Amino acid sequence: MKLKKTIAFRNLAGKPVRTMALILLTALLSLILLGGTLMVSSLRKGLHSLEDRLGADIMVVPYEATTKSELKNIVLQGNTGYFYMDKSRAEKVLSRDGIGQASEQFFLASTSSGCCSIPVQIIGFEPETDFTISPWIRKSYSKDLQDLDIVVGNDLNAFVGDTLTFYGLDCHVASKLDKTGTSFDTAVFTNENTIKMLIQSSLDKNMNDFANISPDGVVSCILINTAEGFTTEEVVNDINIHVKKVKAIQTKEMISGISDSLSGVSDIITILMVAVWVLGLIILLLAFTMSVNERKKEFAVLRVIGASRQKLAGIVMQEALLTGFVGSLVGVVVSLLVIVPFNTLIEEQMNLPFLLPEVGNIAGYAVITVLVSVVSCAVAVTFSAFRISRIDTSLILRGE
Amino acid sequence: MKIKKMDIVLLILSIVLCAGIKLIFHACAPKEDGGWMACHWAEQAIFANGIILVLSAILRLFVKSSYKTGIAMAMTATAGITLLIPNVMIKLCMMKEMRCHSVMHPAVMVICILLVIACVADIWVHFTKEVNPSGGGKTA
Repeated sequence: MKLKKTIAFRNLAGKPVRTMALILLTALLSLILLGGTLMVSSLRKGLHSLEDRLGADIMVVPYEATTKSELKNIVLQGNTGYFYMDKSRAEKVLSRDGIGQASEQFFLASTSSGCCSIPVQIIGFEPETDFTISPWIRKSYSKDLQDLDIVVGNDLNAFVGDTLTFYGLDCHVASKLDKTGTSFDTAVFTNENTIKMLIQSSLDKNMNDFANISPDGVVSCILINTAEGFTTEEVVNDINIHVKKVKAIQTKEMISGISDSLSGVSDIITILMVAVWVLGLIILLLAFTMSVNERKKEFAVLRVIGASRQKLAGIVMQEALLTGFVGSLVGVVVSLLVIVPFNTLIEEQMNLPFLLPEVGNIAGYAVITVLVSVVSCAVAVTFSAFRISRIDTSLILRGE
Repeated sequence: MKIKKMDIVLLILSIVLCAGIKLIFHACAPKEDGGWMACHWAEQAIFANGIILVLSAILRLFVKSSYKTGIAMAMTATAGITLLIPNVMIKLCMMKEMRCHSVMHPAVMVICILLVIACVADIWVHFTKEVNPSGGGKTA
């Protein structure tokens, strides 16, 4: 209530249009600052998350998968699909030198299920050898996956205890994974036995293009970590030269395209943020200067009735701080209401890994945004406050 | 029976919810076989609540201040329930990439939260003025 009695507050309330314009300008600045920061940090977090999830140095896939660009679509873009190679080829790969850890994976795409029209990617892994998916699953589920148990990505609307039916087989949801901001959020993970049962069931129902395969005789890809004493390049070249009809790919190369796009988007956002802030600060400076200039007589009268020079400067500063605080709060709220609830839509539109920071970090960014905006307003008004504290009352009141 | 700024705000938000759920942030399209997915029924329920909110907001334009507060209370409850329809009362589609999750749910959430905040603010202002009728006077 004390605030309402201050001269600064009454000045602001007395000129609602001017006050609203200043509030909107600071709101726009803080909206852009928080929005841009959240976008850039979410994109960076998404990329780190993708690197963690790939988790292997090398990925070996059937050669056909790379020529049809299916691989990147499945692994990076979240498209559904599957490809298989004979187990004999996988054994040849595993017999090469320089293989440290290795684990086979199996891909299968579900058909549309009753509740939704989009198929999901099913990824099977060998629990005994796996070193990429298991550590991630263990964060939310400590037991071993039993046959027909599945673990669902965070973006699937299924929960622990639910039953999902794939190719006529009822699968039990054992756990739901943490969000990664990558295509893995829409995938379903299961053990080797279950995926083989599902592949067989898809073959029995004629829903799989690979009509002549045996689930026990194929794998989709092999993930490899190189042994000590070997470089990734050496192992990749060795496999590509000596094992036919397969392609070994460095996972770093796979995500280099995404990394480049992300860096481009981050740069554009940063440049836009800086440009809008510079422009905004200039406008704020002009707005505060004009606002003080047009009220010179008011300040002169205040000076005549006994207000000190510091008091006048304080009034101008208080006005700026009040508008800056309210405006930045509005900007922060709008920014959070747009980016947090609509993060899935943003991720979809950008087609890049996108993982929002933790709640604590978001709150921290919001507080910093408010502080930066308020301080910017204070800086923008400093010159005007200094000038108004130095006015020559007699000249102003005489109209000179 | 004076029309207040808050009456207009509540009417606009209610119209945005009611019209938007059918025209802008609607649920997923029908399946290839023409059947509807679960999210369609969430959309219908939200639309029905949207109509109630619009009618309540219109009613607020023509009644005395104390009645306006009662209507704001009812609107708070309706908006709160509408907020719970997608994915809590009626489960949405399987993948969060789908339109019902990525567009409809957040849009309904944001509008309903704004409606609840606006209604609570209106109720708070009413009771504050009742306690201190002279308070909050505008100064030029």
